[in-house]
Amino acid sequence: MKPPPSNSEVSDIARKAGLKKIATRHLTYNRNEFTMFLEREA
Amino acid sequence: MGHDQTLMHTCETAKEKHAVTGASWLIRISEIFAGHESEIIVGLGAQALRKLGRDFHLIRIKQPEAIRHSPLARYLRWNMPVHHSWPCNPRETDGFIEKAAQALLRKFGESKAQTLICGPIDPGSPKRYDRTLASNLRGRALQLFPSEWSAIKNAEQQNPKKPSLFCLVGKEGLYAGLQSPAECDGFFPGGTKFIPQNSPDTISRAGAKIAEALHHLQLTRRPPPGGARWLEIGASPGGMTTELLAREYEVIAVDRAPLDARLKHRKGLMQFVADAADFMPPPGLTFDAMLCDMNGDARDAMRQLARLSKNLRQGGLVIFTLKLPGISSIDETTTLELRSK
Ligand SMILES: C[S@@+](CC[C@H](N)C(=O)[O-])C[C@H]1O[C@@H](n2cnc3c(N)ncnc32)[C@H](O)[C@@H]1O
Repeated sequence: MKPPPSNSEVSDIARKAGLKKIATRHLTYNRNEFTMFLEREA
Repeated sequence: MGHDQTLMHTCETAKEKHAVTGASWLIRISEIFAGHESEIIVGLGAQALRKLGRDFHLIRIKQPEAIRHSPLARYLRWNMPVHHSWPCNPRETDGFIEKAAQALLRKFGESKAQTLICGPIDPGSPKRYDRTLASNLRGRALQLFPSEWSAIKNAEQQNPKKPSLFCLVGKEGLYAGLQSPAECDGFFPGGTKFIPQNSPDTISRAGAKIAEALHHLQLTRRPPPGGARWLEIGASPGGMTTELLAREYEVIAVDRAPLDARLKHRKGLMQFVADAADFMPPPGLTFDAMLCDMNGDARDAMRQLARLSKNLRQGGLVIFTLKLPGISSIDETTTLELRSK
């Protein structure tokens, strides 16, 4: 079994694709998960 | 010193008095992180003073910027500097609303706040008194404050970048602070916008997540305009799709499983029943925004988003639910992230 992902690994994949993280939040309707907001770099 | 000022501090505990120097702050840590609160508070370089209600914590913090800039910020649902507090039991305090409103006026009447927004420390309280206390206090206080403060009828009308006077009340007393909704990380005191999830036509409870995400997004940027085209992967059964369509967005929905039959023939929706890894966008098709709520390994999900983002326009928005196998991963996610900086 693969080890569980870390936030930074997921963020790295996004960053390499030119997706910039705006915020990572645990919102009211999130359970075992965070909501990540990203933006495609200009 | 006025009457209320004296009252305000009579209940401070010895612990609060002897706390490290620093600013007094109220933070909210979702109940799902219960058991990790001290780790989070210490990690922010703060000291816990008192727990309020189910998930608010009064802390003393030397560097309040950590609340926004630390990787631990993601465990905080909301935050506010405490510029005024009156620890007391409102129910047992004669004329609480009037005294509280007058004290707010004395302290903040001349401030540049855009409005006053009050909320309960315990929104789940079954007691009518607790549930109506916040709105009764706002009602009375706004009669006293300059009339411009009353122009904002609904929390979402606030300018996210301008300070508001936020006030939380409950059986633990009253806590108020001036800060912009963007810095607090929410338009509502405590951050929660109530979103109904149980109506009979709700396709899945996931709809509330995108509704809340789009609400929260307004703190930092404008959501995509109506008519914008979204690529949604991991869309079935379609709770989020429904929310996007309701905002007049166009949706290209991809999932191994089909969408709920109620979404069939919905205007603006194109459905692909496929594994995300096999999905190739129709040639020349670009997206204004992307959404991913796929379960499974979050790295695989992000790899698919990364691949498909070639068709996302520059500046386009991505909303991604980062699924964690267990909340025990707090330390791991945080330390790894700190190390990778
Ligand atoms: C939590 S559910 C999504 C709920 C949905 N967002 C809603 O609002 O109703 C996760 C979905 O991801 C889909 N999924 C997981 N891995 C996938 C993959 N590799 N390709 C396509 N869909 C996938 C599953 O079929 C499942 O429908």
